[in-house]
Amino acid sequence: MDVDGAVFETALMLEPEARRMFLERYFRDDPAGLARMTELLEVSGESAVFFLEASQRRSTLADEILAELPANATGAEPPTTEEVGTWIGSYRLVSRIGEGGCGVVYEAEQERPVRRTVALKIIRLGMDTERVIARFEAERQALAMMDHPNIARVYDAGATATGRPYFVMERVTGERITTFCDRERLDIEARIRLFIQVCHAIQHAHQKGVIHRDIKPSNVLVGRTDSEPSPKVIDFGIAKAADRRDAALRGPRTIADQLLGTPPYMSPEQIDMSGIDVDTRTDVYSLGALLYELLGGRAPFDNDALSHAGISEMRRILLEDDPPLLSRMVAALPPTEREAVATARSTDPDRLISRLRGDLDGIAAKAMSKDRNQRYQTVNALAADLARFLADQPVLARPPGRLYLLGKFTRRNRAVCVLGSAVALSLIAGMGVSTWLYVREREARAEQNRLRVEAETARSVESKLRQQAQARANVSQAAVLLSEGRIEEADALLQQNTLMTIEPSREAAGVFRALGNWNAFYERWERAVQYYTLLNQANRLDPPTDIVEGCEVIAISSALLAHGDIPAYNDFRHEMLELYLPATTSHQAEHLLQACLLTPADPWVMERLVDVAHVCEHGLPDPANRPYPDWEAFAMALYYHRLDQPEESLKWAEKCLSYPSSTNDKSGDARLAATRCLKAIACLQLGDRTAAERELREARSQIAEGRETTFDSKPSLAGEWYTWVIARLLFSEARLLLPRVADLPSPHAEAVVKR
Amino acid sequence: MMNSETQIAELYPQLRRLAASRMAMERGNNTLQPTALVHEAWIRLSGERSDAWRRTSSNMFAAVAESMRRVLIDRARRQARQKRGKDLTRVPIEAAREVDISEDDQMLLIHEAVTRLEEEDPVRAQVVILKFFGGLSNREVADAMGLGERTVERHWAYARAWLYREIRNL
Repeated sequence: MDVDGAVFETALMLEPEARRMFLERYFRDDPAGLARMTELLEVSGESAVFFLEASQRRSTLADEILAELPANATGAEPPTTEEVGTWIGSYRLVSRIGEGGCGVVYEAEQERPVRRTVALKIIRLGMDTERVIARFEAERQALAMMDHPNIARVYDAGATATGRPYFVMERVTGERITTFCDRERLDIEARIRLFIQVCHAIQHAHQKGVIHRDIKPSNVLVGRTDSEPSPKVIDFGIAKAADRRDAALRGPRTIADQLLGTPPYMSPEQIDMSGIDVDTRTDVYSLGALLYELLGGRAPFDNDALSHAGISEMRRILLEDDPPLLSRMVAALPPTEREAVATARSTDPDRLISRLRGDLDGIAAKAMSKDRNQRYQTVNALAADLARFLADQPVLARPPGRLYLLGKFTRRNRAVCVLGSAVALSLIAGMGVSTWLYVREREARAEQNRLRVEAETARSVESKLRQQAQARANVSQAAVLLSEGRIEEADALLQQNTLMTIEPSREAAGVFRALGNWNAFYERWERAVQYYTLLNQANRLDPPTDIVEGCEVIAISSALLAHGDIPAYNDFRHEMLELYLPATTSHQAEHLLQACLLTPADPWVMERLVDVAHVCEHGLPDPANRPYPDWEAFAMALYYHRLDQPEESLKWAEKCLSYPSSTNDKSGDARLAATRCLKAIACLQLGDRTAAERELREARSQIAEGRETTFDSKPSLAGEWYTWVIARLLFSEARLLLPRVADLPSPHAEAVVKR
Repeated sequence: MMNSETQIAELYPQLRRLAASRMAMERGNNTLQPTALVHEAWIRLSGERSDAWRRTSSNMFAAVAESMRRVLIDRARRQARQKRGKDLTRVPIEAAREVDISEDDQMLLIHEAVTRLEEEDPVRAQVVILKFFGGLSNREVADAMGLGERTVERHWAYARAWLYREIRNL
């Protein structure tokens, strides 16, 4: 029973796909146990709501019982609020500023250690004071690290004489962002610029591991500094500190969370209560809701309607209903309100609606996706998309496809891309495209381990989530660095955390690709392999044909072999043959043949490749228009070499050598060198040792002369490194048969140093 | 069985706490103004009383929670009877089974399910009694039962799902 509890808890913390895998693994031989546990998990969210409502019922009953008690027993009424003028710790209350979701805010004066005016917020619900303070202490370090002009500082926390927790914050003057924009009649562009500043503040916090959790208009105040409007985000970390719930499980007071959050701005996972904890993407959602209101004049969900709906109905609406598209919402407003909304944006209703339609509809909807894996994965990605909107560039919020393909990393792309821009493109395209958690076996194992040490669960969950948030923020930061050409910094940044804590995603894929490539270029194989392994996992988010259209399979194979990891290469080769067959074009076939045949292959592999070779050999589907006839000929020479058919191999090798390079970089030389190695082997097998040795010597000098040795001075094609790996592999193979040919010099000096 | 009404005086602070927790339960955007009662309860419980309360032995906690349970269930039963008396109509037995899990009998349904849980898993059942009927915080339940606070939360989440499944599958 206790083990069940631990399994239950662990499963609750996983997202659906991971949960399914975990349970199947755990209950491998126990279908009844699996069914029982699955049912329990399914009803978990509903049960929380059921018990919430039951708690209300219980309270009502208790009230009724109390009401019948003798009147003298209930005592006198204490003051309901702290009086102005009283001291709380070293703060003197000066005036009452307002009343927020979770408490009353005062302006207060601090005497020591510095004299300053602060905002002091007294949390209304004080049942768990010590815990709130303890949580705050835990958050405090992170909060102290936040230093951003658009974030209000949080200074202190404590408990009042009556035991209610309070927070002391920087006193911010300004009005809520929605009010400010309306009063100033800011147009859509100005509003977006202001909003992007808010995004940057939130991103800063995320990089420090702090999630706001309660972003809404009243927590973003705008004042003017030097006549420029300047937003400030307040109440940072307070929602977390005041949150009663531990990492995953919540008691019947969960409704208090809803008082601390504000339903129309709360993410589904905050509402859900089934146990998945929130991460930085909850703020992406709330920012989306804020953007929606800022642009369209109304919150995505009607607060009043939600308030009256009751808990389970509210939960259902927020979990299931999509808000209307921004432009449609505005179009459906009553005429006078529509007019007012447009006027506040210095435009008329028709122009406003057409400005919102399309891109902005898409951006807001994407930020507010119910599934957090479909949202922008970072606040930066949201801000970047808005910046693209302002610059009249295509945004990512609309269905992907065309754009993403642009970023595909291809070795012999006809449009020769400078590495920098290729990286930037693939990143821009990769960022924000829908992503979902890809679950690795490793993670499932990690979950099981955690089950064993579940005493530590509370802390480890907290830190894991923080680590993941950090890793995600780092990936995003790395993307920015890469787009500025600062590859080394990006690499160093990601190496800070364990790479494996990064969830594969499309955004991450772009970063992995670029850094794997970079490390491979400098022959830092271990790192390159790490990045490629992650890239390979992230790649599974894409259709298989898209993947083999690109050369990544060859790059990954080459990196694994250059690293000397033959078992991993064999696994990868089998995986390719499971996932990527059949090849439909000679281009795909050529990639697969090369990737799978870099070392001698077993009969199973050769058999699976028969159809692939057929497609390649005949240049299907359009023999008159082979995209890369030279490389296809090379792949065929390699294939026949592995089949031990020297005549055929020699024929294709000669054909390959007859082609000029189809690319304008040195990878053509690598192809020629690799082909000469194959030709040497074929010649030897056919009895012409002299010709064999001549070819191999020629190959040797081509390889020794080699490739470009700096990564960015002459970028050419970033992918060329692996064609040289292939040439070296085949050279070594041939030289075993032809020992009179001198061995290659060791790889270029720089790489040796770096290794 | 003791007459539950006679225990009310003893349960006094607990009842206040329950009333106080109503603030937390209030739906919507917490426009409810705190009642005098709630505040009185709050001051006393969070002030010197709470220390006294914490020193109370764990047996006391359990006894109070069990009594709370009885008081609440008695009241719920009485109301259910009154209600049934008010609009008494005959329905086919099948239809009677299909009655929703309505607010009226939530307490009774939970009570019955907890009774079953007590047989199958006394520890988790005790957590539910202390927490749900007794209105204790996780920390108090943990102290009373000699468990970690974290364990209490875990038991509670599990028991909650278990009970709900029982109720739903009735």
